[in-house]
Amino acid sequence: MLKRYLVIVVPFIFLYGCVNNIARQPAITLPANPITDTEAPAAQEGAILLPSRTSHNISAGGNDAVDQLLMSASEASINQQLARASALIERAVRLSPQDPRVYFSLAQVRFKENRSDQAYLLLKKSQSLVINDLQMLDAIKKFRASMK
Amino acid sequence: MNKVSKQIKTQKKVKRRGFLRRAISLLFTPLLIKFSIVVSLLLAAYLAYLDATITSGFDNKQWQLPARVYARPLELYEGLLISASEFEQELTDLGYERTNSARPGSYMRQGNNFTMSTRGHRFWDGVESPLRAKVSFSGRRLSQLRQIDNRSLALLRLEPMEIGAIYPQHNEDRIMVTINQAPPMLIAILLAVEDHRFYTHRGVSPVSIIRAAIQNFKSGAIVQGGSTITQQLVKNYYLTLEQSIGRKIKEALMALLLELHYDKEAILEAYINEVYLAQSDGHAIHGFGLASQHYFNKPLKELSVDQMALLVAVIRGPNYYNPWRHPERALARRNRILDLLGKQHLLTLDDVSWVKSQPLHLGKSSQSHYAFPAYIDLVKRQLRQVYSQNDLTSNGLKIYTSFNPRIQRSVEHAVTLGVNQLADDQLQAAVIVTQPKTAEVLALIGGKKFRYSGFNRALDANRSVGSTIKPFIYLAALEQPSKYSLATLIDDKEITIEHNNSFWSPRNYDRQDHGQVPMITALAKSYNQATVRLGDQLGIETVVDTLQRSGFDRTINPVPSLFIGTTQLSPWELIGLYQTVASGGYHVPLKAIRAVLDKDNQPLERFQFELQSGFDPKAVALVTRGLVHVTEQGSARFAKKRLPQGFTVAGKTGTSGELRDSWFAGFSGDMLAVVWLGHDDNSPTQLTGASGALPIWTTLFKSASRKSLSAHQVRGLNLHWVDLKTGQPAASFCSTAIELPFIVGSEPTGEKSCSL
Repeated sequence: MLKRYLVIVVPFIFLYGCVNNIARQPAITLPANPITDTEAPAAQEGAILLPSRTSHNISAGGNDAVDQLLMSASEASINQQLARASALIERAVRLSPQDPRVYFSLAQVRFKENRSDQAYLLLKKSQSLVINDLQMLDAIKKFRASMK
Repeated sequence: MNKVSKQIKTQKKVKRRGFLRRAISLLFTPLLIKFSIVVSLLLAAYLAYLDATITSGFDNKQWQLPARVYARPLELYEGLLISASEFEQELTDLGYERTNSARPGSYMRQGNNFTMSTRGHRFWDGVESPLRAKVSFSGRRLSQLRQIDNRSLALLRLEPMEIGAIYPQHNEDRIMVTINQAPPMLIAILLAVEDHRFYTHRGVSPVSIIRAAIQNFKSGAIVQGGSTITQQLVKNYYLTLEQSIGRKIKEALMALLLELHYDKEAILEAYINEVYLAQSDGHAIHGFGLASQHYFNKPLKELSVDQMALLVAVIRGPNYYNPWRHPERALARRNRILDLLGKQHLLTLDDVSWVKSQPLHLGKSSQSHYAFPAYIDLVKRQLRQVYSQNDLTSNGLKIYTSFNPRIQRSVEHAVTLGVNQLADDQLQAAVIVTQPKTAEVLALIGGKKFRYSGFNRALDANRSVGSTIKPFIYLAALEQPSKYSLATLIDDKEITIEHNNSFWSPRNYDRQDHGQVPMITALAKSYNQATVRLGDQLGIETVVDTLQRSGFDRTINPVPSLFIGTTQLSPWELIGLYQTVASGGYHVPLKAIRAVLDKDNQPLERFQFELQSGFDPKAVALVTRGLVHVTEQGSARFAKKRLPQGFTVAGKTGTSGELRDSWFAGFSGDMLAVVWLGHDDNSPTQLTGASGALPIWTTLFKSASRKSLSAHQVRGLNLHWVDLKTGQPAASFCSTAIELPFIVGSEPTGEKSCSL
């Protein structure tokens, strides 16, 4: 009788032994929230120089949008978020590829990233798009001088 | 007789009792005890094996998640050049619903005014939060963008449309959802239909099995399954589709073990990601997340009750209940499920009645999500420079590209129209469109059958480019302003060049000599003799150097016939050369990918905007002026006739020997495109660049391009009137006078005159 009991009970003892692991979870990864927008005070060290826009470099629309992107990029630059600053300025390049300010801003970020060759080319590109904006030309020249 | 029979019966009873007694006594014989112990140990070992399979399989289950490829997100701002209907098409592509509701992913339209609720999206540079906004249009222009409370809104970025995926070899596809992301109503419907005792059974439900058996017996066929959700999950995860008693027992044992190890929520979450729900374009669609996109073109959380019921309905047979192929079956099963929800008090009877009256509410056929194989091919090639095949097919990467669905539609429309008009069954086509300044690839087709993957002519067809090469000969010359300007006269008489002890005498297409012509005319009219003479003056090495600085990175055979384009280039290589001109002299490498995020939205890679030094912008501006002249008075004047008045474009036709290839490469202020037509077997097409590729290019630019090439002034250039016949200074009123830019110091001198 005892033997017959064992035949039935042994497998169930094994099954109950497995119950200990009941709290384990399947390997499903939950989405993380890696990127956070940080607020930064304006006009701080590290900000991007932004000469005011002039009538001749305004392309068809989107200037407020470009301004907003460049301001956000400047804030990111202040916070040393150079990759984010670069991404924001590149959005501005797509919106207004004839605007010399976008290349000038990107040149400043590239310089901070220690990519002087790209910074120099971007300054050159920016300068080639300026026609009669002396303030812009002056800003480019000063920045180029500061690179040396 | 009765006694005898009684005796026999009594003997039988005695015999039976004797058998039972012997059987019971046998049960306790040492042999049987040993046998029972062996069987128990084997069973225990088998259970241990199943247990290990269950736990290791479930704990380590890493769903292979294909890389998902997204189009560019549409950036909305005042002044954006897009019409109300084009904007609505963008919303439709994104699965937005036109409704009075304010829920994310919906919009209302009154004429040219929209009110919309965006879904928000996490991009590589930050989060775009869901927002309610008002958008108005005036003609082809976004005239006003405001938040719903009329506060100003400078910029609003919509979420990007998914345009494809890069699949693992077994072709499974899914979008992962957690149990918390699944709508509670969907879970309720699922459990009501598939396993309404889910929270009370321990993996197997004997009551359900008996009920199903009775139903099946009554029906004479298998109409109901008794499997719990846990059993279904076990079957999908670990077992084959074999139908046998042995497999069913194994399934039941594993279901019991699974429930011993994991809680109900974990099992349910695995199920909603594992369940097979559709087949699309060769890919198996698993899980409710992707099935929602597949069937309704919207995220799971936006589904209505009738749509959730349909998702649960197709579990029983995704092919049999395919709502596109068998809408009546799918509708009938959905409605049976809705009735069941009424019986189980998940819906009121009024609600059931109303929801049943709803149509299937399907999205557009899922094919359109994966309809751009040539562009996806380009994306894969650019990704393979950075990622392994396994990364691309298994790790759920999110690939953000510059693909522009509006422009792609225009390309496909223009090619369909153009190729149909040419009535040549063998004719093939390839088109690439890029942004002229940023070199981002906006659209691409690799053949006239846009939905078929295969030979990608845009990237791989190396063909003679004909006269499309000529602008680079002129660019090489115009870099030397002390010697050449657009007005410099070149002799277009017959020429013979000796090379490697052989003689070559190219002729003009019209077999005529044109005498002394200004360079701008030679370029515009595509004169071979003048161009070869110019190339010969410059030297083959100078021309090869110009092509390489323009971005051509293969070895070029330095033969004189290079001057008229016998060199074979792919459309991809040709547009790379033109990119340098269109961007104002900087070589900008072509790119389709903007950024890559991992499955947890962590930025992995960003493909930055890069410039490479190329040419003096002044020389490039002169070539561009020459290319504008091509489209106004030269071989591509068809373009000027068809495009809106005042819309300036620049470009060049190309025709290879014996009319084997028809090319046009050209750009406006916001688009650069190369169009190629030809036969795969390289046989003649009877088409020139002007008669084949140019009309397609023009149709494309007429519908898709919004910015004319601006008369952008470049510092260091001056405008002067010259006589097109003599290249000499002319008065502006002369009939053959043209105003041309000159690099300061290179302008012609002398008295102004008019030729007769």
